[in-house]
Amino acid sequence: MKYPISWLKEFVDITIPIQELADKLSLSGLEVEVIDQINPDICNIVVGKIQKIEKHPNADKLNVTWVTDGKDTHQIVCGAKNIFEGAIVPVSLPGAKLPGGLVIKKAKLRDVESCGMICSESELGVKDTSEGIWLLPQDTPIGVDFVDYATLKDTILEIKVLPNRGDCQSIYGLAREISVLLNTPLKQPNTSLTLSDLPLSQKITVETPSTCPLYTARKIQFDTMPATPLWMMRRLNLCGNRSINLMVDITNYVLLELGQPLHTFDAKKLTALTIGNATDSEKIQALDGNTYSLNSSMMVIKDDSGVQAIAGVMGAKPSETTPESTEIVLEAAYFDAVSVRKTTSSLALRTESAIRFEKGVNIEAVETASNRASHLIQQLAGAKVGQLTQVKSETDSRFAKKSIPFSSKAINALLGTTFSEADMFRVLNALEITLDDHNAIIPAHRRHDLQELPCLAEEIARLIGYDQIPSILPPTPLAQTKDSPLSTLQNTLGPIFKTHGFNETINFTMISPSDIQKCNLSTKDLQEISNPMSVEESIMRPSLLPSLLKVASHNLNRQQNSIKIYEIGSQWTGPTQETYLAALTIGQTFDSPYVSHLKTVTQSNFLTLKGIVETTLASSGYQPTFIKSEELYLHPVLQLKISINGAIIGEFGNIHPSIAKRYDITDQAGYISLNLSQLSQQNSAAKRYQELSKFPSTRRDVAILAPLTLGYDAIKTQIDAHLPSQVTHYNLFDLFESEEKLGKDNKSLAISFTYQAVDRNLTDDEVNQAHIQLCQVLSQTLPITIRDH
Amino acid sequence: MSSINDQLAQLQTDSLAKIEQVTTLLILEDIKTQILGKTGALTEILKGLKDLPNSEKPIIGQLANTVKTTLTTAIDSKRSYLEEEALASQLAQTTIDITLPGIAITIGKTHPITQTIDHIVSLCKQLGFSVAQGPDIETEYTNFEALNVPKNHPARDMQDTFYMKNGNVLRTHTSPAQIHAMTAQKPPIKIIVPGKVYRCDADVTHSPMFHQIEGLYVDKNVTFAHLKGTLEWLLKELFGKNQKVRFRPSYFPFTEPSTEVDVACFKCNGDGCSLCKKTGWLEILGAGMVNKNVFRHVDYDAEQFTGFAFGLGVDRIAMLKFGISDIRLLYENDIRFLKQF
Repeated sequence: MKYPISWLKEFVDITIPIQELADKLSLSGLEVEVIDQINPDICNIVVGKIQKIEKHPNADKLNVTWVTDGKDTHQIVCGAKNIFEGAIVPVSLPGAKLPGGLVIKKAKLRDVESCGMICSESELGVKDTSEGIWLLPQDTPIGVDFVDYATLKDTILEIKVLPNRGDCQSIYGLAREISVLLNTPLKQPNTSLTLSDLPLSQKITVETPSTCPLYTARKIQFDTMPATPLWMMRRLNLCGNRSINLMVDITNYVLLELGQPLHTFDAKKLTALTIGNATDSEKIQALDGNTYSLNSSMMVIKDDSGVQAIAGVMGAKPSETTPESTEIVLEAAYFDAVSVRKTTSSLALRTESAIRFEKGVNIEAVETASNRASHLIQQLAGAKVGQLTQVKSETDSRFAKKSIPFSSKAINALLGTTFSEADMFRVLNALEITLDDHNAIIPAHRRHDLQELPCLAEEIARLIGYDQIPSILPPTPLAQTKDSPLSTLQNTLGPIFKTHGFNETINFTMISPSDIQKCNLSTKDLQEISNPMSVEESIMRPSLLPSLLKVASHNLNRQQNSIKIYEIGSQWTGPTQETYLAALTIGQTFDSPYVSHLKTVTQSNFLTLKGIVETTLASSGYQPTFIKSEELYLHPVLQLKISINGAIIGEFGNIHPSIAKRYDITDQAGYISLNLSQLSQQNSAAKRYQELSKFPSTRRDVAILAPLTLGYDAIKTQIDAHLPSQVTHYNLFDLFESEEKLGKDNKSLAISFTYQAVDRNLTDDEVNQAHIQLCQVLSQTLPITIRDH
Repeated sequence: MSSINDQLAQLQTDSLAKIEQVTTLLILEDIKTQILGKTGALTEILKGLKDLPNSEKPIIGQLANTVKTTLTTAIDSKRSYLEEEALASQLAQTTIDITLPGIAITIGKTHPITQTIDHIVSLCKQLGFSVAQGPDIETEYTNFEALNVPKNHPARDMQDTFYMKNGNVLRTHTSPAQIHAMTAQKPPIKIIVPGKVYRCDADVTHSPMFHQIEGLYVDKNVTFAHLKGTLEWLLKELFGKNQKVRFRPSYFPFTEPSTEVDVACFKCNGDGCSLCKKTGWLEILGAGMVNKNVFRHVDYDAEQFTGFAFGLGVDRIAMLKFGISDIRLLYENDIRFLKQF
């Protein structure tokens, strides 16, 4: 909300610099977001009266005027068309500074001397554009300092009022807070009235006392509605409101000033009033020109002809107060915060009135607001004001005094402070919180907010200052719980992928329906957002694949040809959220290889990808086995499922070229997907020391001629089944295909076996015997020929 | 005798001179053969030994051995000198251009968000916090009501919420993890929860998905002073020992008293600039003493226990630390961007 300093000063003396005030407010919980200086340099503008106008001798479009400021008469050349003799106008005299830095000097315009300037509203920084000179009301006193008179110069504080401080959503409310901060008295608004015997013609019935515990109305009569005075218009403007007519302006003015929304009906257009709920699909033609369809949960004010107002939100056209009105009904009421909140939310109609009711207005100040508005109407329109008629639900808990048990010990215990009781009492007194035998009596304007002892602790702490609370590190016990296996696993696998050259990415978990289609993902049980910012971000992803494909595509489009990326993030299968690690790779392993043999090394090569999976899992203590896989998004042949201890924990392979193409990726792309939620539930092998042999090892190689179609896993299965006990490890060290040397359907594999014992030297005989036996078994069980051993 | 004696002395002198002058290993081996070989000079001289009287033989023999040892040592040391020289000259001829760029698999980078989370988590662990996690999709109850944000309360406006079609919500803060943790475990409890959170808002500083770290400490006798001590330590570790930190009263439904914590602006050092909107301070986190109503929702004894909670905006801290001005860069994942961290 915007708070003009000049208006605040009506209720509280502010003698410290504004910046200091803003700091005090911010550090006590009312964050000043902007300090807006309005026309800071403007000066030397007075109210003048045009006495005489003559045509400029040398210019068709100019006039020469003589303007008096009450003491002197000034000759001023003026080009505006709307001036007339007798007009009251703002005049800037030589030496005056205008907004934007213009300095007025004596000058000759086409040979005629001009001693100043008659000003328009835009020239005085009041409006963005204006046509012609600002013609002031005829009763404006001539000669007064117009800068003060029209509040041309002011400072405005913009404050973010948090939901618990509805009591500060008014000039008076903030002034009350400032009076506490500056320890200066708070002045009360003038509510003096001369009441007339003017009974309300309308009978009032409240059908819903629980949501309207207090409804007041009074009749006000006047002969004609005068124009809104300049000072009021200007204050409304400074707070961001525009002037409508005097009655509406006064209710808006009091709303801003006291925080109590008011409404005026044209009394002649109104019959008996009922406050109650609307009926379903009842309509209202509201003051903003729109027609709203209501329902039975919305509180309204009706008369015989229909809905005349949405309670606490907006009035209706049929009973609107217009400049022709001469008799009005002034409404001041307390509408329930939740009820107004529901209505304003479901109608998407946020009004100044609604945002005050929904934070809770001061139920004890409703009458004051009615009196304040009546006072202004009486002063400005010479109105007759009738008695207040009120319908009050006396037993409603909101009228009840509220108290909170007070204990200075408990407050110090919560804050970790040693504030004295005297200091606490001083703060509470300033806040109008009184103590009655260990009970803190809460003033009506804070009843919505202050609920329990910690609330009192906060009030005391914020006003003594949070900086007065010591900073103490709590005694540090050991961590109360262990990190989850999942978070441990994430911290292990991330760095391994980094050493493989993968960069971590973080992507939105919300994806587009088109991604589901493009990646051939299942559309079953998708988790959809009902109010997404765009359809592109409307489904909780069932896979990390689209996210990584989009990143790859983005980077390829920016001439980044080597893509190695991974993400650890969530995906959803139905409502089940699981953490996955997905990695995608395109292009060379080495960033910029200039040596020819390195240029061909790529991680998107299926076997390189497999190597990454194997080494990554092995270094985390897992022994994966691989199973044939048939994922639709992967290459029909080049893919495998990863199994740990019999549980499938992921898959990898080359992305199906037709899917990659949908993301403008034409290069071979490798992809790994690991379900970390699953993997973290698998036991990894405990680390145990294996004794190192002190005796030498012996190596024996075997070269196998095998048909091309024979998989290495078949050979490996047989080797493992018949492995001599002396073999410590074996590895494939050569793979060779040559139509010329081996025939077109054959391949040669060379495997090296290491023989070694922990307890003795192996003799050649022993090794040879074991090795020959192994070779024989292999050639008997497999369709192979042993070429050499 | 004197003649053999002289001959040996002469041989030693001459040979040492020759060895001294040798420049190649080949010649050195020749000289060795000439002097010490089977038909070499030393053997020749010792042929005269047989003519000497028996009494002199051992003396001359000893002398001959000394000469042999001296010459062998001289040749060996010359040889290792020449070998080292040869190796040095061979190495010096290496022609590889050592100014070429190195060849290696470039190690990947951790995303700046993860780096920031890891840093904060490691600091919190020093204070005895352990890491917990919570789901991204929450019920309205866990995201709002259990945290003392009733339906139709204006505080709901503080967070623009994404709703799922089934009525659940994408968590608007990591605070619902407090509810899960406290439902599962009785006090004392001391956890941090890093995670993704969601709000309908997007511009240069707002992203519909972003990251928070929630902290929660509940025990007997936990005070606001502890909250201040913990966060002040954390922020000074994070931003530097001399970092000024201030606590401003604020409002969150789930804490009372509540505070927002500011650090002095890095860019202008508190003088006021565009980064800090001329306030001199940057808002870093929100915190407070856990509201008693929250304890009541999880069946904690609100009279016996107190606690503090805080919520850090990770993205903002990462942006401030690394000087990133547009939050969207964090989620675009341009490799040229990622490689910078």
